[in-house]
Amino acid sequence: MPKTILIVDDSATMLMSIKATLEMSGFRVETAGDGMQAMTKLKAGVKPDLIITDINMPNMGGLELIKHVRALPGFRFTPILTLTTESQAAKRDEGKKLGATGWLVKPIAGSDLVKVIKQVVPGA
Amino acid sequence: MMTFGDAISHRDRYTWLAGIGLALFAFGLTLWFNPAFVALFSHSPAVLKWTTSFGMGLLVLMMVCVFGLAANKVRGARIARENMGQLQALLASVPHLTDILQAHLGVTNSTTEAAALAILLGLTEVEAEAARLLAIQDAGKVRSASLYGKAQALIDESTQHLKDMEIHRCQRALRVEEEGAAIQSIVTQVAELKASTHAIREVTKMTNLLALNATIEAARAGTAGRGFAVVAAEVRNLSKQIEAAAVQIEKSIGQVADTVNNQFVAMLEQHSNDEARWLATLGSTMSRLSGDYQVAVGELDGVTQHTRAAVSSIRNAILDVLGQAQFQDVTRQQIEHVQSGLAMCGQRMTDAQQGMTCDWAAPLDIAPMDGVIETLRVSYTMQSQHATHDVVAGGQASVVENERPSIELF
Repeated sequence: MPKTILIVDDSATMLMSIKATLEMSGFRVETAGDGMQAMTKLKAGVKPDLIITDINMPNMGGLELIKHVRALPGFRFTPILTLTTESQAAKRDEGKKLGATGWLVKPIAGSDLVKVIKQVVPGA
Repeated sequence: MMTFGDAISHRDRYTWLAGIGLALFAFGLTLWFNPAFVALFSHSPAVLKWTTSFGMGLLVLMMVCVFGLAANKVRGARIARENMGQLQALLASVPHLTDILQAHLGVTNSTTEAAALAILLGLTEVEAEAARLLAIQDAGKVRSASLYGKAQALIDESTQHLKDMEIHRCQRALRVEEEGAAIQSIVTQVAELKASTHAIREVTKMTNLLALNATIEAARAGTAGRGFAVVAAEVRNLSKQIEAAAVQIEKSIGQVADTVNNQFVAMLEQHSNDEARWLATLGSTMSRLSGDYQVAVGELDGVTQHTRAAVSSIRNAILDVLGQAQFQDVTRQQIEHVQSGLAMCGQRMTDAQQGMTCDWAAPLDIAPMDGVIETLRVSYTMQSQHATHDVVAGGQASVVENERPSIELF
């Protein structure tokens, strides 16, 4: 059974790039254009094994999304990786405090991304 | 700080006061130097006195207004100088901002170019791997055809061997049967001959005994039997010769039987040797076929491994190309920051232009681009943006972020 990954990013290019990369590596992929859409999907019953989110997005940013996801029942231990151009240490520390599993800076090579996913998703 | 609106109201007040003072002063002078007016009030010095005092008051008021106007003029000149200084500072800081924005665009351009080149390189690798894969497939196809032809020839050869062996086996069975029957006939005849020779030997023995008896009887007869004794001796000699001939015949018959038997055994051995040779040839052919089959399997395995390696290489190249496509998100954000900087610069210029169209003497609220540059710096998200900014602006480098890796697991 392939693992399901939810990608949240407001860039269509990023969504397509990461989705294709992960699908080529055998994962099932769900996408959302911002934090709000991601929350709608999660509340609708989508249960990903991993969430990869951008930080700076319209409507609901990545940090706010992490906070909301951690408050949802059943998502306390779901791994959440940020994938962003954001390099400020303060933002990283805030992400860590809110419950992010890791911080990845764009652009990231597909092979590196898959390696990290295998590290944080059990059985991937 | 006095606003532009305040400056306008002050100036208007002084203008109105100066106008009123001048009007009253002119009216007072008219009355004072008018003989009719003086004559009119000659009988009333108090009125003249108050009128004169009023005129002097007006004179003082006029002096105040003139002084105020002069002070306002001086202040306007100072504000104009300050405005000019602000404009100069603003204009002087524009190249600083444009240098930073140009540097950002340069980095964006480099990022785009590097990503495009990487994508092209990746696609070239994919194309090269695909071509290599096709070449491997073609070579495998040719090699397979060659091996197929070779195997087909060996199979044909083996089939022919089997056919020949079957024919040989049928012929051999027929020959063995025929030769067996002939030999059996010869053996029977030889047995009959042996029986005949035995009978001859028995007759010879009897003849010998008769000759012996005749000799004895001839000796008993004396002289009368002497001739008979000679005949009897000859008969005995003849009998011995016949027996010797019978023995020789029996011996020859045995040799003939042995020869026939040996030939039959040799024939059987010959047939066995032929079969063994056929089987050895067939085994050799099958061994070659097996060897070729192993070669074919090995080559097929090689082709599979090459194909797997090529497909893996293509997959990695595509993954790299997909990763490089993320440059668009990076450059989009870089360009958005440049757009933001240009928008703030344009707003600052519009403010200056609007301030200048109202009143040059009023103080303008224009700051140089330093604030815009700082706002821009604070809004950066990428380390590369900070680095580019710091290189051009020569400001404080944000070194803290440098220490954090691009992949960090908490």
